[in-house]
Amino acid sequence: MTKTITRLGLAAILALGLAGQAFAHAHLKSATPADNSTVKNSPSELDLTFTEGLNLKFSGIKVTGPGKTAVKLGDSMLMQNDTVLMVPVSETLSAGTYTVEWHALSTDGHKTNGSYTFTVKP
Amino acid sequence: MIDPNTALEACRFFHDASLMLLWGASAFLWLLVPKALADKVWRMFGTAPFLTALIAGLTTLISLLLETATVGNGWSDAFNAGTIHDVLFETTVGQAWQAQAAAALILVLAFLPSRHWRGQGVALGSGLGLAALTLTGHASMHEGWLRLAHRANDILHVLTGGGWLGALVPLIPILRLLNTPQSRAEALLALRRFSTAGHSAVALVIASGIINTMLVLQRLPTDWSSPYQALLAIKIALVAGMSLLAIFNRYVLVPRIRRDRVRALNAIRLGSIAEIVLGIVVIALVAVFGVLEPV
Repeated sequence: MTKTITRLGLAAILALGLAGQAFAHAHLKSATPADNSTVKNSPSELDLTFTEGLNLKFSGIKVTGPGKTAVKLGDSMLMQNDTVLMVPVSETLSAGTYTVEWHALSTDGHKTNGSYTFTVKP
Repeated sequence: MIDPNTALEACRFFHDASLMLLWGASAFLWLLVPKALADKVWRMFGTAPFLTALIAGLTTLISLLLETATVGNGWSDAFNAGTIHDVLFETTVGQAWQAQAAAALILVLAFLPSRHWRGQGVALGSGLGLAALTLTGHASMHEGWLRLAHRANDILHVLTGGGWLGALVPLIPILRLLNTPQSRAEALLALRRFSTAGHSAVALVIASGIINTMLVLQRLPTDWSSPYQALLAIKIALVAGMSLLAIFNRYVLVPRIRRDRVRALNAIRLGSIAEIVLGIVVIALVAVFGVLEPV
């Protein structure tokens, strides 16, 4: 019995070596414009790259600018195996710091959220 | 008011526990217990299996509302038809729910017709219900062939775990029937088969559990500052306790039956009840850490 378990355990570890990384919850890996970055021009879209695939219906962002005003956004879409959330920005952003609050539902059904900021300084 | 996530954890506990108990009990009675004795045990259970199946069915219905509230924006979304529709048809949680609902329907319908097919119907409905749990969540976190392998491993884990835990429930009246002359031979045969199948079930539970930990966590659960790892470590300790109780029952108490029958049988009964209690606590832990992030 113990022998069988050891063998199965070893097989599992071997299988994992081939499988690579996996996450059950989607985390923000990178963003354009990046967290804490300063951009010269108002971005036409925001790209959020996650550690795993998202469900479009239950994932989204809210962007607030200087003076707590909400930025108008277009319809978001998913790219690159659903790991990148692309959100068009419908207005020209004036100078100031913007906060992006995101919420994501991973393909396997787990919810995460977070926020980051970027600054527009022409 | 409790938050939807806590309510979902509680709902998962009642759902998983009722399915595991029904699966193990019905599969054991159907496959390993002689027919006449199995019928007798079903009669001794009275309405308890039906009530347990009702809990499984109701928690299935409630879980859709709780999943909707969790995935959506809280309690206000629980009864929002649009959000329920989106969860049901546009998320993996919804797809898994559809399969779970079909299984729950089979389970509850198994109690309608004649007693003849009840055991098989309950085993089929509860077994499918347990398998459908792996269609979402950590069992589905991988891509491609590994996702299928992971799901297969998890199905093996819930079915052998549920088989072990649930079979302990009919074992208790069967131990008592050892004292009834007309049931004695059949009860003895059932106990012997329980013991043989039990060894495989325990070995498979542990092996599939190790594989699952390697797949989800990719390390040993030794960092107890992570709630996931701490709860998993407690679960492993409890399963180790259940295994030791099973070994003690089989290799210390069973040989004593010949010498001191009444006391040995009583001790086996208490040991089995203790295993059931530990098993139910294990299900409660999984209901909670299954939705936590595996870090």
